[in-house]
Amino acid sequence: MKERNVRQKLAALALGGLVLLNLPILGTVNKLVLVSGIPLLFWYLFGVWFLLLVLLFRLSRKEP
Amino acid sequence: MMNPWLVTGLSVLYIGVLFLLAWQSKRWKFFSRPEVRAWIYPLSMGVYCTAWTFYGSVGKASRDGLEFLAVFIGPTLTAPLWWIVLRKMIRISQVQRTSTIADFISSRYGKSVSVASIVTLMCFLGIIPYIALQLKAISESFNLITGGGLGSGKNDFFHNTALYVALFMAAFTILFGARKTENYEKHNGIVVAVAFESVIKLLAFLTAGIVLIYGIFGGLSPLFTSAMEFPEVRKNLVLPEQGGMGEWFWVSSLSALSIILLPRQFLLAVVENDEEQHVRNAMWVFPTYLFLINLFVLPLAIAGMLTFQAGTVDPDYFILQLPLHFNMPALAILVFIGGISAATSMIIVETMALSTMFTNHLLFPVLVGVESIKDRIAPHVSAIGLWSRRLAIIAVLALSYLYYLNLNKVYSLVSIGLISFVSVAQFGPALLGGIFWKKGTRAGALSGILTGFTFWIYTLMLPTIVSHYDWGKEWMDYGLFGQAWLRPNSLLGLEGFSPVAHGFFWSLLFNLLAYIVVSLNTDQDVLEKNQSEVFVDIFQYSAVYERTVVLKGKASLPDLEGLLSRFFGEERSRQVIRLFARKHQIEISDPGVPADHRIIAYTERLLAGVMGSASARMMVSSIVAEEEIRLDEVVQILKESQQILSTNRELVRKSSELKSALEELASANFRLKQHDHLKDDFLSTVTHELRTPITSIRAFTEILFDNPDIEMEDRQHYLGIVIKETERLSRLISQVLDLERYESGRQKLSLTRITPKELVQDAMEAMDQLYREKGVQIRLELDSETTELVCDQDKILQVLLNLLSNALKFVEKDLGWIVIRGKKTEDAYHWEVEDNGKGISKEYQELIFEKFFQAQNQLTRKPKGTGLGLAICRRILELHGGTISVSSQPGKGSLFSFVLPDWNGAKDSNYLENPTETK
Repeated sequence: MKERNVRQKLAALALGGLVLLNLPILGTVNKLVLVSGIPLLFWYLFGVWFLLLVLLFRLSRKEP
Repeated sequence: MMNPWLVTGLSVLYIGVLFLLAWQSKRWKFFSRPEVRAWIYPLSMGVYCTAWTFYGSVGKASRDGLEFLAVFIGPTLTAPLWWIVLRKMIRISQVQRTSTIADFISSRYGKSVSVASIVTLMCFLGIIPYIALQLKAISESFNLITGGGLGSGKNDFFHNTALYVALFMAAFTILFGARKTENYEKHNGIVVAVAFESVIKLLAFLTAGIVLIYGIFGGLSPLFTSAMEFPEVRKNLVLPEQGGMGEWFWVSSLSALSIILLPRQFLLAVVENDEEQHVRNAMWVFPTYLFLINLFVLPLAIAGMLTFQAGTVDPDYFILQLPLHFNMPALAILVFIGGISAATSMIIVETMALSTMFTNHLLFPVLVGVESIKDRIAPHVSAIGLWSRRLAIIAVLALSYLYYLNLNKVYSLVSIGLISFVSVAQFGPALLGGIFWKKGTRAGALSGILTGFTFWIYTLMLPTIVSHYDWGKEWMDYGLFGQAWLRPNSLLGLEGFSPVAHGFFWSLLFNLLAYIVVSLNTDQDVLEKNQSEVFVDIFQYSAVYERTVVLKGKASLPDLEGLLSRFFGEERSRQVIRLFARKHQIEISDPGVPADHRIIAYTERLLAGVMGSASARMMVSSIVAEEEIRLDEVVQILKESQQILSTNRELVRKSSELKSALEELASANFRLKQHDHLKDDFLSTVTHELRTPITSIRAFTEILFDNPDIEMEDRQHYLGIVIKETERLSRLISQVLDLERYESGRQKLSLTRITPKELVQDAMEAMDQLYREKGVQIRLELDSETTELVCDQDKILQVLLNLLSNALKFVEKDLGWIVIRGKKTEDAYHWEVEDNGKGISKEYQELIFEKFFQAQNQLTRKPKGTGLGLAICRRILELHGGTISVSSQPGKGSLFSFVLPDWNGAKDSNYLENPTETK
């Protein structure tokens, strides 16, 4: 029961990452703008990536 | 520029550390601690980041901006699925003892020699350029850092750095990667060394990024701000225009496949995994590793572009040129060592995987398959396997070196790497389909892989070779035979893709189509059927794998042991067989009788660890007299072994059910005993209560009987007592019967409507005489005289009488008073009977409603009643849905109050008709 739950969360994470880190969403932040001196796209890619890492870390701590 | 001998010395020193680690790590306890092993596993997967990542990503970022990240985003996005996919592959590989990706795929498709050898060939074609690339990276970086290298140039055969690197790598891999015959055995030393290399290259890259960006360019923000001033630099801060074709998507999908399909990744992530739980750690550690190693790629590319004039410095080596330019020799050396670690770890692991594949899937099938050779090599098969692997290592490195010498300069580090990726991606459909789809057949897998391979050669491999030549250029530009739709870079007129995305799309599309279509139109043979079941449902079979074996052949035990002893020695072979037999409770009989089929299967599995599953299959079947087995028999055997599992599960479930039933039974028994106990108590109390009046009746009647001449006055007195006692007796009996009726639930109420006043008047009339005798005042306080109560008139009258007579008993003669109150509230009618008698002390206030409890009784032992009255009152009120309670102060009096719910407006009219049922 619990195992399925964690697995489904992992699958949802992969799917969410796939959507966030691909066109067309990626296209909307693909702009030549600096935000606090850092390119917007750079912020976005590494930001989403970091978020994925945090969620992965939390999920991997649970008994899958 | 730095002294070449110093750089060489440091490099040799670094490789010396690797040798030491690989050689000695077994002795250091640190490396066998579970928490350390959980980190070594994901770090060793860092072999994914080769020299191409280390140097090439910066070059790619200076051409196409952030597009380089796709290669690392792909694996990150699939990392969450590793628990489902990778863990399954690990389990299969461990059960089947596969040691390479070729072995894994061929094992799934009926241990097919053709599948294994084709996969091996493809790996050779796809991977050798990739290894050459690493040699190129090392040699070029060496030339850069020393300003020319050891010799005059790369055509000077004996003075070329790449050659020495190749030689070192060959020695290392032979020493640590091809030490024993059984390659299924883990190569712990190599894994530790590779994990160490991963740490070094990450540290080198991060240090370079931080020192250069923060030390020289003042941080990320100033760097990017100055980048905005130059259009050719600025364009790298975004992804290049993709025209909706999605280079990003194709490259990230491609790398997501490669992360498990590259021979080196398969070796480290699947074969060398020693604990499935480590996958959980790897799921976040590996993507974090990729995150960190990519953090400074774009900033370094920008820094390089801002520092060097376009065209003067190869962007692929910005990370090495920058420290040299700013005169930081220590940092340059660190970067150089990082580059070496990236390149060497890839070379070592890839070479190891390729040499095993060559031996097991190309050499052994020939040796074992050809009748005339087989018998001659049989005694030496173990040594042949070992030497073949060693020679294959040398051959792989030699081929890579040759390829490097002729490497086309047009292709950058990254694109050659990606072309390799596309070649291994062709295993995707057959492998992933094989572990999730039972219908995939050998014919399907073969046609899928071959189709994809053909497309790969045509669209990606050929162009790297033919574009040297004029006829090749013509072919590239105008297509084969001048047919425009056959142009390798825009097949069927597909335009707008990069060569890699184009080749990947077509090859994988036709590969997948061929795999599915052919699989659906062909049948599996017996062994395939068995393997497909086991692969797809591995988590069900791994426990009972031995039972699922479909070989029905006959072989004698000495023959099997003889086969094994060629690889493991006589003593050890006998031991493993005995151990296996004992574990599975197989009786080892005398040599004449054929061995148990499970031992045959086990032998095959042990051999598979040495020579690959296909060759092992051939070996074993050569000494086994096989019987034909029908497909439906296979299905039957598989079904049975699954049934054993589900029976087991059912048994567990049943026993837990039984346990809970037992517990329930025990508690029911306990309750029953308690009730029984109460019943006994009740019975003994009742008998006791009955005996008291009977004793006195008997005593007085005996007196009367024995003394006929007794005085009239006395006689009257005695008879009066007898009558009173008899009355008490009959009252007691009728009350016990009453109580029994209430408790068993047989008592029904007959509800009528009555006003409180009528009720009280009835009660007063019955008691009037007694009150007058004792001189007790009685007062009525009813708030509403017209309210109608719905109740069982007789029963409520009984309650009132009981309370009134109780009160009468305990008030003093001539001084006592009693008040009866009636109060109507919204949903009930409250009665109170108050007196100024002796009261009841606190501890008895709840007990007096129990059966046979008489507060005074405890002290005086002179019963004034039956002790059942209040208990009956409570039952009556409970039956009406009401309550009864008492509050009292000893010496001052008591107040009994009871509540009758108002049923006049009861929504549920059923309750009125049949109230006992809802109770």
